[in-house]
Amino acid sequence: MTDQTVLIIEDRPDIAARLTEAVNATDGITVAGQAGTLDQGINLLYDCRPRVVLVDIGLPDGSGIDAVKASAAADWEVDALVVSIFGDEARVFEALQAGAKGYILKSGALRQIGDDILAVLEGGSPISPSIARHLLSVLSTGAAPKPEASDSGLTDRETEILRAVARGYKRHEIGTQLGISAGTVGNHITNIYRKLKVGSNMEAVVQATKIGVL
Amino acid sequence: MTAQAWRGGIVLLVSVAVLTWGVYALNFGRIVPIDGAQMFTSGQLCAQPECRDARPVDLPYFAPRAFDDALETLHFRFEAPLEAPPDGLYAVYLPKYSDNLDLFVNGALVRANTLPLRKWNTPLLVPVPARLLQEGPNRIALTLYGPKAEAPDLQALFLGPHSVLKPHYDTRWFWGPGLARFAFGLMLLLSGVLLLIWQSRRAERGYLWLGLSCLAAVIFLIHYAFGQALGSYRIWTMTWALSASFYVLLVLKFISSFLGQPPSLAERVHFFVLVAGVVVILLGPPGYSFALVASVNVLTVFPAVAVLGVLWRNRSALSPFDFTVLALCLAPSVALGCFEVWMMGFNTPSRSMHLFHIMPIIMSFACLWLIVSQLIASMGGLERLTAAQSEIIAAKSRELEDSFARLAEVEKRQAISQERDRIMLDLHDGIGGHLVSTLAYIKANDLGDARLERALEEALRDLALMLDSMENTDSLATLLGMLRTRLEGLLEEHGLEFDWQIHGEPEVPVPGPSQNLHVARIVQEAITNVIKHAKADTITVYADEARIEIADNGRGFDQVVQAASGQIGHGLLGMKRRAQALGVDLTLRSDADGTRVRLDFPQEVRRAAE
Repeated sequence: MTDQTVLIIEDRPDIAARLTEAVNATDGITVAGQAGTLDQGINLLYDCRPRVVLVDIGLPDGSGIDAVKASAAADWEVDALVVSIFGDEARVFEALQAGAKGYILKSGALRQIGDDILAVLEGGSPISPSIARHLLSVLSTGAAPKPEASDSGLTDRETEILRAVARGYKRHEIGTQLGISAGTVGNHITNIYRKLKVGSNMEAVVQATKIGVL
Repeated sequence: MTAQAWRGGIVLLVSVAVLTWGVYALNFGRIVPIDGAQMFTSGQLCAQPECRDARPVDLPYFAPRAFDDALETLHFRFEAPLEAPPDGLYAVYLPKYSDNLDLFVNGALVRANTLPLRKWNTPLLVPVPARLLQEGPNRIALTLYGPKAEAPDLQALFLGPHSVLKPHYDTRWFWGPGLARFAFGLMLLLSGVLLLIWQSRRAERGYLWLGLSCLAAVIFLIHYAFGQALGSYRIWTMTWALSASFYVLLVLKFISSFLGQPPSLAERVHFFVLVAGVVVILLGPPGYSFALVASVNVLTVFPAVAVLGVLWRNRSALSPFDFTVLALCLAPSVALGCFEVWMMGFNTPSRSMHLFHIMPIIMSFACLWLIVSQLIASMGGLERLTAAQSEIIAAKSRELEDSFARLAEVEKRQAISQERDRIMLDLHDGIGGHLVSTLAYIKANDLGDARLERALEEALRDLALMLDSMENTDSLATLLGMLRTRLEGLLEEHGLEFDWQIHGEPEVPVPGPSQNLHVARIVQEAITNVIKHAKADTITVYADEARIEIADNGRGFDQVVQAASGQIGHGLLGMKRRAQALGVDLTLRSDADGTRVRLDFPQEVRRAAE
């Protein structure tokens, strides 16, 4: 079985090198290309037709979100993962709405990027505690979590899972706590992402977050 | 027309009829005997000035009506016997006659006529010196002049002491020409004021109609107040009599325009009748002028009632009080008009006092009341509008202030966010980059010093922790979660794994991002200590609201020995000092089963802080 290809769009050479190292060290995936600008990255996206794109948001010639959008619109199966130093609500929502499958913080363990990519290939959605916490704080209106978060479209179970992720629990741990499988936990997280992407009120949430009202 | 409208119309007509009858029945100014004076209710009408042929007549006497614009001349003679010798000033008092006369007492002319003045509604008091009178028979002769067309009349007259008759004369003069002169002045003033107002407010036709109606009243009031004839008999009769009809038309127009109604059929018909009347009078024989204007004025009764009808139909447009005032003024006015028309047409049974000149006074009061009432209402409206506007302005100002405050807050947040981003980027790409490349350089070139390597790695971890804390300013639990994801790989390398037990959000004594970072640093240091020294395979991280505990299942260590050797003692002292500064109790317990670092958050301190 041939390795799945990964395209890296990152303007910092040292970060790009660490990402490349982490990807190549993981079985089943290999780096197919590396770009330092958005323009170059989108060109390489069509040239390499990778299975996974790792993209930084702050690129010298534009936002990595455009590369995420291009991936989402591509005519082959390609998943975009955002790698950013910033994990604030506005950027996370923008990336997830554009179709990103995951959002990874640079301050986290970059050496685990390989596992995150494998998780995406298995249909999961990697999520870090910070991101989970931001999703919670924006999606649950008001300080106190509601018994049924119908406003945000999150179910009680999804809220429960996000809270556990935010506290640093792993999927299989959450599964054990809730008496469900790790795969089911992954499905819940994928569902949360999907809700963010299609949620009609999410555009407003993004706008509100951008101007800092929320 | 609906049944209700019919009922309303009938009520109006009946009330006008009742009022007219009331005016008639009250018979204001009826001539009654005066104590101390001789009243003449019969005399002789002579065929010639020298009275060769005479016939007895009763007073009041009305000359037969003739369609002739010539002047009728009638000679009367009265015998006035006095029982006592006359003393003091005497007088002859004629309450009502028309239109002018010469008066002789015992053959002496005591009053010559003042033609062409027409004293048709003016009483006359002629002083008679006592020397002209005598005890026994006396003779009063008078020559009456009046237009044949209007049937000149002579009502009962009096002879008596001047002082007895004077008050009666004064009273009658006041109610007759006196009041008419007052009305004349008032109408003249009002017409000027109203037309001036209209000049500056052309769009409001009501002022024009009302001003013109006052002017029309001025014309017929000349006839009532002064008896002055302007122009020939035909022209003047037409002018004064039709100006009353014209007055009604203008009041009708005022009421319509005031109520915002389109010109009614009554207005148009009335106007047509007026114009037709003028044409017929000007072209017809002069002797018929009076009969013709009388006919037009009879017809005017209908538009006058129509004014009441318009008012009744649109009563909802007026406040109940305004409607009452207007109705109470309009109905008697119409009744006075009807009474005057009746007096013009019929001689018997006689009514000697004309009252029509009171009508414009009443009507003007009503119309002015309407204008004042409207003014008061619009001032009230203006006040309400101003109040509402001030309220809106105040609300908008508040909104504006709020949004300014929000905008300022947003800008502040954005500035903070941008600054935070910049610092994070500098830390990560700058210091972080240097640390990473230095570490890579040392490793690649095998420069050896493990302590240096560890120090660099610790610095990198601390940097990552700082970056995490900048992103998670409000949650220590998430900071610990992030810590776990970063250290997971390191633990794996050393054959360790986490037993993760975060059950709640730890409540640091003094909450804040900086305090969270310090606590997380202590936890991170405790974990790396385990990795470095404990020889354990599991690190349990437990957290709830009141405490955080990091425990391992390693070999443990002797605190005293370790502190003395200074190996990890230095690190432990640092942890303790930092915990103390945060108001957190740090306890360390180590035995053969492992080491346990426990951070307790004293809840009472936190509650006191709140």
